[in-house]
Amino acid sequence: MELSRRRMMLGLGATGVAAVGAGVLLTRDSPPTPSRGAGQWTSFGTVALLGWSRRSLDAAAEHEAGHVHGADHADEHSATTTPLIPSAVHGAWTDAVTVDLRVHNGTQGPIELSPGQFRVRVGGGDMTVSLYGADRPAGPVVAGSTTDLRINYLVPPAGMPLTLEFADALATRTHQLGRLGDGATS
Amino acid sequence: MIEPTRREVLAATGGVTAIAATGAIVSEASASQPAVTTPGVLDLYVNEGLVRMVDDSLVYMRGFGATPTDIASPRPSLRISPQVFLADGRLVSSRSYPIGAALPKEGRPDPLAPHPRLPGQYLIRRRYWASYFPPRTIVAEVGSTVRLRVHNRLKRAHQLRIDGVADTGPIAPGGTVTLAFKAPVAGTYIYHDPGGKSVERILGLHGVFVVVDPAQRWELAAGRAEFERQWVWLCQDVDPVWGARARAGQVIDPVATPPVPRYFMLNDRSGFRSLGVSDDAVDSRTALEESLPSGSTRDFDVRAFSVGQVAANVGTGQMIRLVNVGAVVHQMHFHGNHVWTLRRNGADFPRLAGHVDVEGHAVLQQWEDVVELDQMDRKEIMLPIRRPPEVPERTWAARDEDWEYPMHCHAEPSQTAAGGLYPGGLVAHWTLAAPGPRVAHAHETFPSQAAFASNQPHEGSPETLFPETPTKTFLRKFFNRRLVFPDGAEHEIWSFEDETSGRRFPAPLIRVTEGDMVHVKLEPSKRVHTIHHHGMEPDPRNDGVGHTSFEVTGSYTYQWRPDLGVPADPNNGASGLYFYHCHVNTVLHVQMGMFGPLIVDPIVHPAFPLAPGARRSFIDGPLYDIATETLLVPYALDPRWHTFEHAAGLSGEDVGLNRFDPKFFYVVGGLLNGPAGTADVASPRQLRANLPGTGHPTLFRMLNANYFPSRARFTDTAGKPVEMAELIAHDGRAFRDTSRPGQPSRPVRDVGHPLRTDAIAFGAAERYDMLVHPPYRGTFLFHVDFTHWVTGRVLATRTIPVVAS
Repeated sequence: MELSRRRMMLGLGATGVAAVGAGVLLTRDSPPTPSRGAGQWTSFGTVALLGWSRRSLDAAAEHEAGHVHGADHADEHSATTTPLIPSAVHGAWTDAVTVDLRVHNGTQGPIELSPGQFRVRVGGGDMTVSLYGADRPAGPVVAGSTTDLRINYLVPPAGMPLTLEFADALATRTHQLGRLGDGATS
Repeated sequence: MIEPTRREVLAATGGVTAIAATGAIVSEASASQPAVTTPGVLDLYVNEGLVRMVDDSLVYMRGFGATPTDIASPRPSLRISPQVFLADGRLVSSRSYPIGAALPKEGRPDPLAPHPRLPGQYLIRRRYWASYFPPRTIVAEVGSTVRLRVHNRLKRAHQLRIDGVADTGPIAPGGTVTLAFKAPVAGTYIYHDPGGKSVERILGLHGVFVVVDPAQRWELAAGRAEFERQWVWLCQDVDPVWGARARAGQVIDPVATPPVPRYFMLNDRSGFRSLGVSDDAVDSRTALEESLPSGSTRDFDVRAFSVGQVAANVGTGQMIRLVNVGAVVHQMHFHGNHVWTLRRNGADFPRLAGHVDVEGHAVLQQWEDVVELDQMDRKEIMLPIRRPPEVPERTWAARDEDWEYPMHCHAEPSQTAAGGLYPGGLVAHWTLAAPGPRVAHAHETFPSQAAFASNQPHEGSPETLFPETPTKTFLRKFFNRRLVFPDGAEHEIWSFEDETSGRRFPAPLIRVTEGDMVHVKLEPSKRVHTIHHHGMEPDPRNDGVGHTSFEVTGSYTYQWRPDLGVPADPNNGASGLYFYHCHVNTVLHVQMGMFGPLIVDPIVHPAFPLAPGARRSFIDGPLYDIATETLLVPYALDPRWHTFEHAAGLSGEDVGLNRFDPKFFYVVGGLLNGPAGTADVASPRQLRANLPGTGHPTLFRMLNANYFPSRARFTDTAGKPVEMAELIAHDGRAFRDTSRPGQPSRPVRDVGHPLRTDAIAFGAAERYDMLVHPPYRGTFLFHVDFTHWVTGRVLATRTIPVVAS
């Protein structure tokens, strides 16, 4: 089995496949490359940011829809999958960003996908933000399938540019999926 | 082809009755395919995979799993479910032990009956309840033969070792080693891969091996502490950078690149999942069963856990086996009850003739509210589950709901996850059951750690329930200000002030006497804060912890009454050194300076009168000199943290609160009864100690307000150690002789066993009271070594002269 893996890696390298770690996931019976969907290549397939929205969670704005960007997957009136109840008194942020994502598993085996692999980066610096909630729990994505998920984050007050990134844990590589606007509240 | 060989091997090992302590080892060529299970043999697979952390990120880890899985498996097998080797030769897969004993619903044993004399208290069933164990646990009865078959499925050699008991030696990639050995003496052991010193263990190759005497299944060992039920708490620290490097095939040097843990777990859970308040109901119930102690109030005497009881009930608590397989020194702090420490690393602590070991730890059975747990340490402790001693009578009588008390590591960076998300790290709680029939209690649940961390309960100006007329009142108002420290450095400090203290650091002393009805009014002024009177054990509402009561925006008056001491009684009395601190985003707020000393003086007993100029530190303790009583508080400061906002990290942002990197090191405090100074920061430049024969001895009170372990040392001016310290109390409890059940427990110093030492090791939030006995007139040196919580390296030393006269 070891030799087979090594041969596979050599084969992948020789054909110029750039996906780091792709070979690790492939078995002896795997095709030479994973199939792909929309978005960026990963070690197992692709990940795409479909859209995002940002809104204020303070009481006055709680029932008003925020500004929505991107594809129609970012449903304006159901942007929240989990009620977001940060406490301003406690000092928590009271703006939120919702992102819609599509993940394609192009390998011939299931892969583990956890919403915590996606993080928001603040201001282009070192600070990233953990999720607040997601509509899909951690779990496997079956071979050859595509799944959509929606994730909420608390984010700092307007003015700091935000980007979304994905940690491809098996490949130990982080993918930049795109900007979430310039940080301004719509 | 392999099968017959395995069977032959197992038949051979099974037939051996006398097996060397190091175990019988048989190697096989390959185990790349799933093994066929063999009755009586536990297969362990060295696997790798991705593990979900409390923030739902995935981290590469390794582990001893139950089935062979590959790295890409969505459900890698990196730990086993609990397994039991019975003395009759069977291997049983069971979460509970003893097999067949009654299972406590939600982990909580129901009591036998109300106590006939003590209202609100209960008789505890003796030798009745089973205990749930967490994954990674192997239980073996004394007399059993433990048979393990370890399959290495990774690309480098791996190993399984139980220190001093059994060792596979290195197992080649693809190889299998079968190990058989007799269960050693009853106790708690760690199985781990010693590869790379700590590396493979920290990457996940670890577990707990519990040995039980089948004739004494409710005792630590024959004739040792009896318990109602027991728990295993496994402390684990996770460094994803190490994980990524291991994933990439790098060899990690733990000395050159020490781990920087980003996640801190107890029994493979962190934060809201550890507390059983996640939306995952099954996981929350499992956490209750295997990690969160709970029980009814009982009468408890540390001198006798089982003696003098009628057969059907027993006056004991619940035993916890604390095991640290992590990377850092943990400091397990219990709210609500002090715990009784029984044993460390298999060596029973004595009840009388104790000593201070070479590291500077007191080796004696004792009360603690913070239990230091070094890397690879195993300590057995007893949680009494008794009436919290500082609850006023009316509050106690009105109790009609469960009271939950936190347990958390006081090495506070361990309370974070992903650089923030307090309290998202190594936490638990224990529950004092409401009196009467069990009532189902529904907890609020949370979808994520960020949801939990960003929305703690808060109230404006809640009322103090069952208010009593206070005998001592204090006001503590929040302030923030840049203060000048003794080295001239200026730091942003948040702390408390009272009506007269001014804005100084540390916060002003709270000094009360046992039996006082104490009111402490908090005025947060900005945002939300609380005050936790660390070591005082009132009802949860007055315990000052956000997630078990409320945070305060307006004001709140905390009420508690320090327990009254009784001479020669080890179970009562609250006199000693404590401290108070904010318990909101504690990891940050305590570092910012929101703490101050708290001293409880004993009541005066006619048999132990006072003398002019002297006081006792506990009711039957030695007299000490009031004029030279001194507070010494190591405090290290990370200037990066002092730029943060009040709620840094609580919304899920990674602000690096797992990385405490102190650059400034101080010993703050000073004379407790001298004139108030005017400096921003009280810090002694010279200490005084009375010579024997020149008056009563001097008392030094030490509190470690640093997050890392400290070590205090006494030397002469040439640096030679001087054994001039006598430890008399720890965490507000006197060191006593508890060796004779039913007999008076005098202080150990009065029965010929004083705890004399030149060095004292004390981790975060620990306190020691010590008498100082200079051997001659002159100058000595008091040093404080600030050490690193991972490496143990001395980061800085501060030295203060001690003038003996």
